[in-house]
Amino acid sequence: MTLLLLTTIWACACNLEIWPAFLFPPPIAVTQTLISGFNDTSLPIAVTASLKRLLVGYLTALILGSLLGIALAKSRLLEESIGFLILSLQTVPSIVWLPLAILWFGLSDTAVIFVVIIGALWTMVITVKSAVQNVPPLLLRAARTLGYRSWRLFFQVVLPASLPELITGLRLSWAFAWRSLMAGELLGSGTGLGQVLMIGRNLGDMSLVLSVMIIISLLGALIDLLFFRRLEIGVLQKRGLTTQTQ
Amino acid sequence: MSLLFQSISKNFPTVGGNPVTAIKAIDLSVVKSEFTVLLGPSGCGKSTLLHLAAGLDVPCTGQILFNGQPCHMPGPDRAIVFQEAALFPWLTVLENIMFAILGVSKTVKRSRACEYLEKVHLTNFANAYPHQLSGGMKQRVSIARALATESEVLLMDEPFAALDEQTRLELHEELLRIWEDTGKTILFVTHNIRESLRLADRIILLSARPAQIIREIRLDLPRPRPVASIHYVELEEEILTHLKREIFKGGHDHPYTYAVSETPVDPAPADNDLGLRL
Repeated sequence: MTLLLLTTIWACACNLEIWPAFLFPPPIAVTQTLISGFNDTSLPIAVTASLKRLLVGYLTALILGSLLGIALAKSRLLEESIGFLILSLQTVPSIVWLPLAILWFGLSDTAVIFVVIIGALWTMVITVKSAVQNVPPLLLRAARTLGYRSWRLFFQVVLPASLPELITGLRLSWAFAWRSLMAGELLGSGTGLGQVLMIGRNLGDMSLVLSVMIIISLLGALIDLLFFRRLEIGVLQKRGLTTQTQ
Repeated sequence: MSLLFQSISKNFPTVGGNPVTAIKAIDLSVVKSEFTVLLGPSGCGKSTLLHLAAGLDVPCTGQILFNGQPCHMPGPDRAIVFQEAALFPWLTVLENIMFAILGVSKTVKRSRACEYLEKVHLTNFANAYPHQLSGGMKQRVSIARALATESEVLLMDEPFAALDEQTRLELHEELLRIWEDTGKTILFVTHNIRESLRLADRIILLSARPAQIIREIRLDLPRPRPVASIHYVELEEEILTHLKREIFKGGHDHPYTYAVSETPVDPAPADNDLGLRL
C-alpha cells in the first residue's frame, strides 16, 4: 500500500518535469532497467558479489568484535588502556580507512572487506562489552551459589542474559557493515552493487542508479525483517519483554 | 553444629573515606536442623551476614565455618533464596530448577526437578516462563531451586518481604512443612517480628548498625502458632522494646523501618499499641 502510494508520488513528480527524464526517470523506466538487469544476469551477479563480501566482512567483525568486547568487559586494565581508543575509532567513518586499505591490500576485494570489517567492528565491540557488563548481578550471584563458575557461568548465564542487547549489537553492526560495503565498492573495484551504481553514474544512466538504490534498500529491509526482527521478537517474547507478536 | 560464625566483622569503604562498620564481632552457631531467624532493623547488616555465610563476600575479621570448612566461596552446599526471585528469564520454571542439579543426566535432572516442583505445588507451571508467574509463585520456584541443590542448609534473605500478606502466610506454611519434611538447617533473615515469631526455633535479635547480637530468644512452642494470642503479643512487645532502644541509640533516620504488623503500615506514633493488625 505504502509502496503504491510512493510510486504514484514518484510518477507524479516525474510528470512535473522539474528535471529532464534522463536525470529523474519515471518508475516504468526503472522497472524496465531492473527487469533487463536481471535477465542479462548483470544485477544478480553484482548482488551476489556484494553479499559475499558483506558476509565475509560481517562475520569476521562479529567474531573479532565479540572476543574483543568480552575481553574489554572482563579486564579492567584493557578497558582503561584501549577503551577510549575504541570509542574514538568508532566515530571515524569506516570509508576513511579505504586509502590505507588500498595501499595495504591493493585495489582488491580484500580492501573492501577490510573496510566492511572496520565499519562493523567497533559497534560490535562496544555493544558486546556493555551487554556483558549489564548482566544483572543478582543472576550472577544466584548462579555462583548454585556452583557455576568460569566458562560454565559464562556460557550458561552471561551469554543468554546478554542476548537481547547482543541482538541489538548484531543489527547495528549489520547496518554499519552495509553502509561501509557500499562506500567501499563505490570507490573500490570489482563487481558488486557499488560498482554498478558507479557505472550508472558514469554513463549518465539514472534509471540504473535508481534500480541499484532500490535493490540496496529492499535487501537491507528484507534481511532486517526476516532475520534480525524475528530473532529479536523471539528472544524478547520468551522473557516477557515485549507484547508484539511475530 | 552446622554453621559457625566466629567473631565476624565487616567494614564497607565509603566515598568519604571512613569505612562503615556493618557487622561487629558476631559469634553465632547455627544448630543443625534448627530454624534460626536473624531479626533486626532494616539496614543493620543482617543480609550482609547471610551473604558472608553464602560465600558471596568475605568477612574482614573472623571466619565462618560450615561443617568445619571455611566458607570462602559460594557453593551449592549452602543454597540461598534472595529477596527477589533470582530466576533466569530465558529458562522455563522446570529448567530453572534443573539448573541447580549438577552432574547427572538430563532425564534424572528432569525427574528430580519435577519432584521439587511438586513440593511447592507448581507442577502445572513447569513449562511457564518466569515473567508469566506472580511474585509468590516466583519465590516458590526459587525455594524449589534451592531445595534442588540438596544442600544441608538453606539461607533465606528476606524471601517474603516483597509479597502480600496472604501469599506470605501461605508460604510460611509451605516453608514450615518443607522444613519439617526435609530436616534442613534454615537461617532466615527478616525485619518482620511477626514472621520471626511464626517461624523460628530461635530468634537472634540484632542491633542497629553495626550489627551485634543483643538477645537470643528460644521458642520451643508447637506450630502452627497462634501469633495473635496474648503470649505472642507480649513477646512481640518485648522484642519491639529491644529494637526501639537499639534504633534510637543508633540514631537511625527512620525509626519505623521494621515491620510491626504483617503489612507495611503507615508510620504509627511511637507510643502506639504496636499497630497490630490481624
